[in-house]
Amino acid sequence: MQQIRKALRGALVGCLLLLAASAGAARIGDTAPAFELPDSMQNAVSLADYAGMPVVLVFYRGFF
Amino acid sequence: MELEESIAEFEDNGIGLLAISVDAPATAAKMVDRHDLTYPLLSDVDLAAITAYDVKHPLLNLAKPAVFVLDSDGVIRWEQTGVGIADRAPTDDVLAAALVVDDVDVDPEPTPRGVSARGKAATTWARIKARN
Repeated sequence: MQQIRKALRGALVGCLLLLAASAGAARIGDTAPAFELPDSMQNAVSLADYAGMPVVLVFYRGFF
Repeated sequence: MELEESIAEFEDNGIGLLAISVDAPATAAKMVDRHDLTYPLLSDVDLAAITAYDVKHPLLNLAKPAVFVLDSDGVIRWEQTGVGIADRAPTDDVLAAALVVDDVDVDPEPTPRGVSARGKAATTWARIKARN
């Protein structure tokens, strides 16, 4: 009985961890996560630079 | 890059455009030169933004092809994540979504498993058009 309870508790903790992990993902309706990254000229560009206008973010595989 | 052909449309309509990958700035600079790109290629070597937007490839340390459209308040209103490496929403659909992003509520309807970004973009856009 105690073992079952322990297993159940483990499963619950697992579920909560999964929930917490997925809550961090960017989803429609969420405020877009802020970032600051260097462009090809090594200038820091942040999402905040584009405040007040629609922004399209394109993630791509890259060419290495 | 197909996007470059539509860049004027984005600029003329006051829509910001940022491309993000794990490429180092030097690699990005080569791409900018080779294709005369006018929008920034951002270097996310540490996968910070890629992780924050949950678009990391499940096995490799690089981004899945994905597009997010944010409204003027910085809220994500439209999102397409590709299934395969070359599965990206058509630029016209991205532009269409960006043009109406401040006016229309796009239903945050989840995509069924296995539906491609292209297919998803088409249904989302059809829904927007049907509403207007």
